[in-house]
Amino acid sequence: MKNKIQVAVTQRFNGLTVFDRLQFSVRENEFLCVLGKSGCGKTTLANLMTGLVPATQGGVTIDGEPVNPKRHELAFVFQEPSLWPWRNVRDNVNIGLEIKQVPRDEAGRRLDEMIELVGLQGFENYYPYQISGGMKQRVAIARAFAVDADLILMDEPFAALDAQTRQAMQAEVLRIWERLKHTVVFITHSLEEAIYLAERIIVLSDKPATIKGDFVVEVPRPRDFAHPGFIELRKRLGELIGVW
Amino acid sequence: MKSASEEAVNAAREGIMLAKPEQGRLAASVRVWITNAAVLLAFVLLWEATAQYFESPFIPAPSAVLRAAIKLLIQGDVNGHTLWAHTGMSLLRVLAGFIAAAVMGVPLGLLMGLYPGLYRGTRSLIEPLRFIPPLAWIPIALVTLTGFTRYVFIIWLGAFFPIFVATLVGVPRVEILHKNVALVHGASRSWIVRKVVIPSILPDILGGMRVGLGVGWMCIVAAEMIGGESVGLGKLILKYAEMLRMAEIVVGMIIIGLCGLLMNEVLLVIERRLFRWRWEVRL
Ligand SMILES: Nc1ncnc2c1ncn2[C@@H]1O[C@H](COP(=O)(O)OP(=O)(O)OP(=O)(O)O)[C@@H](O)[C@H]1O
Ligand SMILES: [Mg+2]
Repeated sequence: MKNKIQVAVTQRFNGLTVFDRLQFSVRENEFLCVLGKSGCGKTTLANLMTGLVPATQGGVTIDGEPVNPKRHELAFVFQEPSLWPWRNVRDNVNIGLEIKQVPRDEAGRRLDEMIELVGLQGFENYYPYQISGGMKQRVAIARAFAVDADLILMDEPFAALDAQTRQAMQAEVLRIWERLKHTVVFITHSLEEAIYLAERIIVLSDKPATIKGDFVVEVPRPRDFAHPGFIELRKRLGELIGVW
Repeated sequence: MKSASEEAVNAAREGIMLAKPEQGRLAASVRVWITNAAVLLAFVLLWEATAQYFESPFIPAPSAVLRAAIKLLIQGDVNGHTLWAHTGMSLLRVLAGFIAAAVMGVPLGLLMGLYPGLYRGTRSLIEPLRFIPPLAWIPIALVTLTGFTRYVFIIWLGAFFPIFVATLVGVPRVEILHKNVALVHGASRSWIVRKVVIPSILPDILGGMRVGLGVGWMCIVAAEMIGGESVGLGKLILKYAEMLRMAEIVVGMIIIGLCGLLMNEVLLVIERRLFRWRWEVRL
């Protein structure tokens, strides 16, 4: 598989260096997890990769071109709830399609497909205040996968959910990714979550962050927390990172 | 997997049912009605008692006010204008001033909110204007304007700033995250204004309108003081003030209060319709 995304950035916020020549690449249709401690710059990285924040130096390219939301098809599942409260579930999923002016009947088909894929049939007309936190993140995921994305960024999308819902959602994201195959960069600070989901894991160091480790996860799917490969990788990552 | 998500779906449905106990809500609204009726009754009784105690022509009893109201309704005032004519005319003037204020305040607030430089550059003009009471404008209105425009101008002065300011301060408070969702998908600035900024600040705008409407009604007496015509609730009050006839004055006051209340209720209904998503989460 070819390299789809190249990251080579230095990022400073008035004197605070978050990334000092951070470099890595993401392959096409790869599921990459980025692991890092709280405050090490994960959200900043996501903002850089989707062009929301310009890099102090260097930049991010997709297919060799500087990242640009108007030219590339990007999607972002944010750490905090990001649904528009004035739109119902269906219209929230539609946001990306609407902006990219996907023709109506095709958009309708894709909406139906995505809503079914995340199991929200029957809730199309509900407003965000009427659905649970888990369902809100499902809507955000549906919105991200609804567009034919070059890159989908997920920034700790399940951090606010309870353990059980979280597990169900992880399985769901994998199922959707296996079906639709997009390039996904999934940010997390949970070792287990990363090992369960990722094809490849990169580990960020403390600020200024660089790549501290790069692991291909070879545990067979569906992954089992008790699999020896899982336990082994967990141990290696744990040693690399130290106490979280 | 399917069953897990189905379970979540069902659980959420139940959650929604629990969150909306229709019967409890009905009972609560009946209770609110009863409380309000009781408060009103108590007020009228207290008023009656006060009037009887003082026995002064300057403190009219509720019954005297009612009689005055009926007489104004049927026979009209000293000039022959009925209460209907007064009310209709004042409503028209307030509405005209209010609509003019909304039509100018919302786009101007939006524009200056989107381009803060515009606001910062004109601040020294706008901010002092905001604190000049509409009453102080009366002499200028008298010499520069005639007829209907005088009323509209004074009411517009009162209603404009609450609407303008509510819109202006709403714009920078739009959730950054909501804007970022659109930005990531490559939305243009104008799309974001139409689809994110305006829906986000619409509740603020409606809130500003309700305040503006209140101020507009407060200006009606002042506005009708300078207007030459003898119709209007404010004029009614002024006419009977000259004759020291309190009962008719109180009728005018009550009708102004009721008109304000009714228009406010209309805006509230619109608000509830448009912003169910917001209304339901209020405490
Ligand atoms: N706009 C900004 N201005 C100044 N400093 C910033 C800005 N954005 C982020 N930072 C700083 O950059 C660092 C990284 O922040 P970031 O939000 O990327 O962390 P994170 O890894 O996502 O943390 P968490 O896991 O808690 O979400 C922090 O020290 C933060 O204070
Ligand atoms: Mg973060």
